[in-house]
Amino acid sequence: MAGAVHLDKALARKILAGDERAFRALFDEFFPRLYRFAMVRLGGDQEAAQEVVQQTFCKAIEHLDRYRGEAALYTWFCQICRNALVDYCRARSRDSRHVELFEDRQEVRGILETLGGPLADEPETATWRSDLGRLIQSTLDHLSPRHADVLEWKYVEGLTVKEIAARLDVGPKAAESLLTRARVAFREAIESVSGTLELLGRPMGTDPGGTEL
Amino acid sequence: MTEDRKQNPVGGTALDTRDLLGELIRAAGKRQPPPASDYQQTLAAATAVWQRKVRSRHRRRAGFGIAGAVAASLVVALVLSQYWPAMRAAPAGACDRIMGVVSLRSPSEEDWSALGGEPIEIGSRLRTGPDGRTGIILASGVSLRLHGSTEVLLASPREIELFQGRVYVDTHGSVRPEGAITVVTATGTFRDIGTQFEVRRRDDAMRLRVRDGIVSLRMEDRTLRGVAGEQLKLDESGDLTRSAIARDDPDWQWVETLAPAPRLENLPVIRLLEWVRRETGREFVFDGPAVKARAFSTTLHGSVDKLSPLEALDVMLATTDFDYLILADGSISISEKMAASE
Repeated sequence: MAGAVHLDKALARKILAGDERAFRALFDEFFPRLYRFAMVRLGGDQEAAQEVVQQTFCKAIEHLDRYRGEAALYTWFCQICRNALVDYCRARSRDSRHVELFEDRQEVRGILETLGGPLADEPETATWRSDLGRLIQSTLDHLSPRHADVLEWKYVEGLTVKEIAARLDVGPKAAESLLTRARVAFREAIESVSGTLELLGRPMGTDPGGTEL
Repeated sequence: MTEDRKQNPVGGTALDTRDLLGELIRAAGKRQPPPASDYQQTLAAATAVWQRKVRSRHRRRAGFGIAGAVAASLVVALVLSQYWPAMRAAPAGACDRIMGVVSLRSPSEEDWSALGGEPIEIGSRLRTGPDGRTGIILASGVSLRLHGSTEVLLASPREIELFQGRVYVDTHGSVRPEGAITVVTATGTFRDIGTQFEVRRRDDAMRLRVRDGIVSLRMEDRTLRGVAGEQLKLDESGDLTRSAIARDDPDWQWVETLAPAPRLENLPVIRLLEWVRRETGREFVFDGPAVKARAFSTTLHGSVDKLSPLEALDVMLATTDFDYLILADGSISISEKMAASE
């Protein structure tokens, strides 16, 4: 983590020094992730998401010399985005409860418990699944881009390890190793959202405390 | 999927964790990229803010050096106008030596041109090709030497902004605070206290080598000091390592080829030896006190223009009764020539 923050600080210095390549690299990496970050919290309103993310970038760049490496640069951008979201909603008298972290809701933890259980296919869980989908994508966006990409390639696009290795221009062992690390990172991220991953293995009807309902 | 499920000892079924992660990601589907129009609109706005930010930072840095040197540069301009009557603007300095491709862009010009012997205006940029080298005498009297693939801005006779590459500064031992030279980089500002030093910038990594004197490096969050014989390396993450570098390390040799030649006509041999010592870092050893005394009293004649220090030593001593020998440890022994035997 310390190494990643040092790289972030180096990137920020390059951008402030006028390095256009560094600026574009940052923008191209952060824009899609912040856009999805904002979309989730604005109920899918694309126009609003674009406005909030634009404000986020402008403010972050204006104050980039204040970035001291207290957290990862993307996390720092997210904090600015959260503030921009609140300001946006206040200015338009929108219900800013939409802005609260989705992952903080108790229902999210319950969603995870339904996976694989007998009620998984019931119609009333459709909405929950949609919300869960956005949660998963948001979690992927918080991983390093490389980790997020290999997980999508493997599980969404169905690529083999060999195909992933070819895409990354690395050997199969390196690709397998990267995939393992990506799974660990994703698991840790999900655990921080939902509590322990052991809950996912519980039979339906069991609350987090282990008591039968 | 069912083949991967494990039996739960208490009666239900539990998914293998790895499969469950895959299930989650698969269920979420591919993350959608934002619309291209939103990307372009945001990029345009962010770029405008970024460019404004970068310009304001550059203006702030140049402002300190230029404001401080305005009075000095006016005086320098008056003095130099005796030698350069065609001068239109206050010079930051002039070129003393050129090797290979060296280009100049004056503040009023958009294009680069080949550097010649003309005065270099304040605010000019200099750029060397991969094999290019140049030695500049700044209006402050300081010797500035540029290695290959180097680009600098001469913000004033005492402030240089280094964008990329390697520069060597020799202040000829001046310790006056007002005569200090600053080399500005994105990482920090190097300031000398009567020195010879080299700064190299490669992307975001920085290296300072101090050959003589002391150099301070002021950064956003700290100030570092380098002393003679020391090398400081800052990598892209800002981590610092210190190591030693000898005055006569072969890595200093590139600066010798750009050393401004001193005027030695009617000056004692010792002046030549002092110059060679300063430029090469080599120590002199005299073959006895009588030889040393003669170095103070023997007068030189001729010019060492365009000669490197060791070439100059060879050429000049040939006109005297002195001989020299480069010893195994790199030092130079000075002795009297043996009389030719019949």
